[in-house]
Amino acid sequence: MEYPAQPSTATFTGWQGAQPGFYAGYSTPAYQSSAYPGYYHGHGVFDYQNYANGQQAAQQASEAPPAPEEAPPGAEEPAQAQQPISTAPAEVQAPYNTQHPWVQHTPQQQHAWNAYYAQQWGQHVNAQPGAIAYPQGTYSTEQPSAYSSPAPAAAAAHPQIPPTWSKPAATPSPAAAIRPAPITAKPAAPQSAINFTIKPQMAKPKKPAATNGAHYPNAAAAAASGVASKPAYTQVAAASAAPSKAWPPPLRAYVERAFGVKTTDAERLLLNVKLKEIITKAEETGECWTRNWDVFPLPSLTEPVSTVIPGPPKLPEKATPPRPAARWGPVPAAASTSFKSQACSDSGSEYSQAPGRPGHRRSRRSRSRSRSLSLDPSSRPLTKKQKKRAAAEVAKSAAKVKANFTIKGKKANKPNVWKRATSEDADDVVLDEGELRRRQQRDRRFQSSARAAAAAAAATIPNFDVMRLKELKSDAGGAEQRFDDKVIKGTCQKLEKSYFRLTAAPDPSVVRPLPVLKSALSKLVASLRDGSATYFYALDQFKGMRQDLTVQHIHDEVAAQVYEAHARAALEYGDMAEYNQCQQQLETLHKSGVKGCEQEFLACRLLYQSAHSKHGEATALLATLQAAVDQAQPSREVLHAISVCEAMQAHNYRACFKLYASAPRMGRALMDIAYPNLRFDALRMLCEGFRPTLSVSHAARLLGFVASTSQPDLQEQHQEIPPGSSQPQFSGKHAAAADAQMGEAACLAWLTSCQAVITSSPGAIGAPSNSQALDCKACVGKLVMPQVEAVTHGDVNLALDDFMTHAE
Amino acid sequence: MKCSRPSRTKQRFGNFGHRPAYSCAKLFRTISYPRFHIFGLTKLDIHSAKQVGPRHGSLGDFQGLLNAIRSFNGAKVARLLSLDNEAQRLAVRQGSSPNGTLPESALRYIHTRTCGLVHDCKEHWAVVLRSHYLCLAALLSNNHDQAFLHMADYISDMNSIFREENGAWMVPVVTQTAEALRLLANKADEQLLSQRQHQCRKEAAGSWLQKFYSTAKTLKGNQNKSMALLPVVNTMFKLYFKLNTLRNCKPCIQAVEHPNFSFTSFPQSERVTYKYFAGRLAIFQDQLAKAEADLEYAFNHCPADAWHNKRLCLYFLVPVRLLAGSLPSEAHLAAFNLQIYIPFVQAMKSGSTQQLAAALKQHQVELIRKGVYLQLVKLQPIVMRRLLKRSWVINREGNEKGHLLPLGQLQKAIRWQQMDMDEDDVECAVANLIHKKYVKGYISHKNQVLVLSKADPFPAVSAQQI
Repeated sequence: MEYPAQPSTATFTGWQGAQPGFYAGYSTPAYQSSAYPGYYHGHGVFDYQNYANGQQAAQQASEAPPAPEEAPPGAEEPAQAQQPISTAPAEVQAPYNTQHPWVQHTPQQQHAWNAYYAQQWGQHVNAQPGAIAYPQGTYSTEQPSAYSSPAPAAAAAHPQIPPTWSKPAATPSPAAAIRPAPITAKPAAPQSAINFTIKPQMAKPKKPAATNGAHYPNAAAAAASGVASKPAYTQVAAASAAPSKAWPPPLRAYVERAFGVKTTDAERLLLNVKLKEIITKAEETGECWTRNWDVFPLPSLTEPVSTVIPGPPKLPEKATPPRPAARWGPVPAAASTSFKSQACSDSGSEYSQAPGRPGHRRSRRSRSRSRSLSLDPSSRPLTKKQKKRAAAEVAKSAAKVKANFTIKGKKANKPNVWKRATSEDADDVVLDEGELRRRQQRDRRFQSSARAAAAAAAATIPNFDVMRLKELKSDAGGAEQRFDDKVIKGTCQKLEKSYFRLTAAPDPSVVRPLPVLKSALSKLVASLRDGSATYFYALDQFKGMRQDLTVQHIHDEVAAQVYEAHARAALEYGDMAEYNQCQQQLETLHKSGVKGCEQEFLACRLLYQSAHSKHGEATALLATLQAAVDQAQPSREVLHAISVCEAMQAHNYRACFKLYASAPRMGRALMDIAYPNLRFDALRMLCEGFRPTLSVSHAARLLGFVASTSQPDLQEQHQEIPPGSSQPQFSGKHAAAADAQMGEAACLAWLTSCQAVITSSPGAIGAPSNSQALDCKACVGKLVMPQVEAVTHGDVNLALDDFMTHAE
Repeated sequence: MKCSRPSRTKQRFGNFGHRPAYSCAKLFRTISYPRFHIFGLTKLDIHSAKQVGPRHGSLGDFQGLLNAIRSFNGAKVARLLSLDNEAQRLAVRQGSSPNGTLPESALRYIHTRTCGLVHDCKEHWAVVLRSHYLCLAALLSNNHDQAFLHMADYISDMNSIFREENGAWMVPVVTQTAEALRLLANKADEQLLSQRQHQCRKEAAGSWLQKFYSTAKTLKGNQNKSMALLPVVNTMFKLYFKLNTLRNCKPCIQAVEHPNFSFTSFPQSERVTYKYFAGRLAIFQDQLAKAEADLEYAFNHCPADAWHNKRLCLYFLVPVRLLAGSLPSEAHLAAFNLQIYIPFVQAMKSGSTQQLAAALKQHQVELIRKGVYLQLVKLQPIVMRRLLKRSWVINREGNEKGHLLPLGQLQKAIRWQQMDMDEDDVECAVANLIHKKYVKGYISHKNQVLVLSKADPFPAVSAQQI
């Protein structure tokens, strides 16, 4: 792994030193009130068993005897959590007499820290602007020096770091840093004031706290009370106490076991992350209590130990740890009982608190914070929305106090393009509504539907998409968030539905459930059979049905029927593109064991591939043939298709023409693909084989223009019309004429189009058709394959009327 | 016996020279249990921690493996990582639990020891070794699917090692792993099939092999990395032929047949394997000349005692040769147990379209499975030419117009063979022969006669381009 050049490495090492003070600040009251031996041993790594113990202690605070010797002052009783203002100083003191570089922190606290930064930085900038001089080119995005240097310089200082990683690093944004300065002018009291003034969530359309509350009464109650009147502080305690309840003793034993062996600090850090993931996952899937933790394997430290060194952390390549739900956005606060989801949750902003703290070690703290974010994969991908909110709150609170600072902050920010792009600073606050909307619209245009919806969720009316996304987010199962996890169930009852390519998550109210699709299909098939539906109408309907099937993940017989009917209709019309789509779907459907007309479409595949065998389909044809002979009882269609393959391989044109005539069902439509070539090759063969002339009437028979007498009539063999088509057997474009005269005329026209030399024999006056003959010798080497006239709009079959009706 | 003794001695006394290994263990002992850590731990924890000693019985010659890795001894690493290594299997069988996992302590031990190596890719090695031992344990408990998954776990890490090492010493390890992955995928699929699951591990294996392939192709750091290319390509061929996804083979062929690729520097076994598959592929793509050359190469370079492999080469070579007009002797076919082709040869000799059709019908399924059916169908015109020639020879006897052959004669011959062909069919068949230049002459439709050229009316089939 490569790391940035020298100067930035130097700064990185500086981070490690900066760690302890910063993280310690995130400790919750519950945490502090705990009494356990490991807490102050100062080996430099936060460990889970301690944390678990701490949580436990908070839970059973009434029974548990207070730790006599090492408990920090002012943190003896969890009851103090109820009195935020009085506890605040204790909380401030605690970090500085402990040496914890890695302390679990919740987003609530992160947001609190945003605010806190804002003050500290503001104060700092106010007091001595530019006092801290950082060497040029160091990794200093959050440093004051970065304000003066243009964005590209900051980006160039650490080119190795991909933007996604550097995002969190820049979260304590410059704008936030400058704006809230006035608050910090009076540093002691206003912290609690901020706690009460910032209520950004109140204004926004709210997430379904009630529904989540059903599952997590504790948190919901906390949230409710928090919104009502209680200080933010209380809720932090409540929220962080919630997970401890979910920790069964075996799990705690497991965590202890995990920490029992790991040796180096680096490994412990890694283990921390891994354990957090495992536990979160278990909590999300509800296996916390059911899993046999005694035998559950310990997390493997596959990640390189060197990740401790800051820089773009390397994720394990395989066995990727589950991404947090926050990938698509925040998890509703009430739903998250685990560390990770808390860390990802944006609801922390409701409980923002800014613990009062002396203003020193700010720069180090900010750096260490960004480091921790990049190290901890679970908290890393802060979503846009989340960051926006956090930044917006800070900015709003600042704006309340003094508006002109916002302007100043914005000005200072302006040249820093890179930072604006990555750090989600608080600019949005000064944007007017129109601009916001415009930006959102633009977002929606360029982002995927899901992300667009997430962005829209921030401000616009919660429409269906947003609700659905939230739903998706709230129950993010272990693995990477995928839409496949969620299968919708349609409620639409309409039989007809036009196809519209989805631009957003599907809406169940316009998706038809299976029974409705069934009747829609039979209706469409009936109208195709009696010819009342044009292909365009059918295409539109079929595509709508296919879409409904896809979004509902229906892979059963009905799906096969829809695809089969559509494939037949497409073949009848000559729409090969749609046919191929259907054929592909049918292949996978039939392979997975869905019953349908497997053999018919296997035959279609054979015919199609043998028609294209010269163009790279030879190996595919081989595979299909193998599948065909594997059939226990090959159907008529398959046998026919196999003999077509043979005839085409052996260049037995005559057999090909005969087989065309006897093709069952849609066979002719597929043979039509190869037919012009076959006929032209046959003509060349005749010209070389016959001398001196070949009468047109005979040629018409040899070239398949006139039906031979021995041709079996298939029409009577099966009268049943397959769904999707209008005839039992497709007539085909190149069907031989039963009438010899007509066949000869067609042959003559075709020969002329091939630029064949036709001579008229003088003797026969009475029989004009017999008199004409092909001059074989003259034709050799002069024949030209007749070109099909290209149509501008690409569809030869498209009649103007159809086009007009379709356009309407 | 003579060989084994010095090596054993070396192994025994070689340890003195392995200073780093010793210091590794020492490091492990001193650093891994910092004093503070004992606080808050139960006795049991400490006990289990102590179990992670420097020696772990269930891992076999783990130390040897580490030494080989450190000394870049690719052959030895490959030998010790081989799933067939009996000593390793025995050790893991004794150390693993019946459900096919290793004790946590062993895994921890692997990780710590490997990370203690002074090696650029030690983290990758840690993953590789850990997953390898898990794979072996799963394999020994007959859970092939799990074993495959464990192996797939470490392929990308092994590929990273292969890519980032400047030397080409990983070549034997990579080639062996590729082959093992394929075999394991086969077994895993069998197991899944028996459990009625529809996943296909072979497909996954194919995409993993692609990684090795692209690394071996880019030759980053060392030209000799290309020595892994042909073995990996061969493994991919085997996989794709089994999967019947032959279009994936095309880029491999292009890479190997690139003029800069030194094909001759590979061992004969790899060359023969490659040529065999390339020849088969050429048949499917109708490149019969290339197919003939490749299969001939494979057949000729196959060791004489590899009867089965020689037979496989012939299985595909015979149809190509038949199309080129050269007929093998029946004794030759029988010697390689290729009686399936005897009726085809007889039909070609006698011009019996009936026999050909019967043979095609009889062996249709097998020939289609092997992929030569469509080639054998192309024998029809050649058999027809033979029939035509025979009727011409008979008709020529005592006939002053020897160059003329009434089409009725031919049709009579065809009827004799109980083949259903009307006049038009016969005309077309003959015209086709003329078109393919198997016959020189023309048809006079008015007179229903085939007019043959006086000079060389039946050019040899081998003279024609297939």
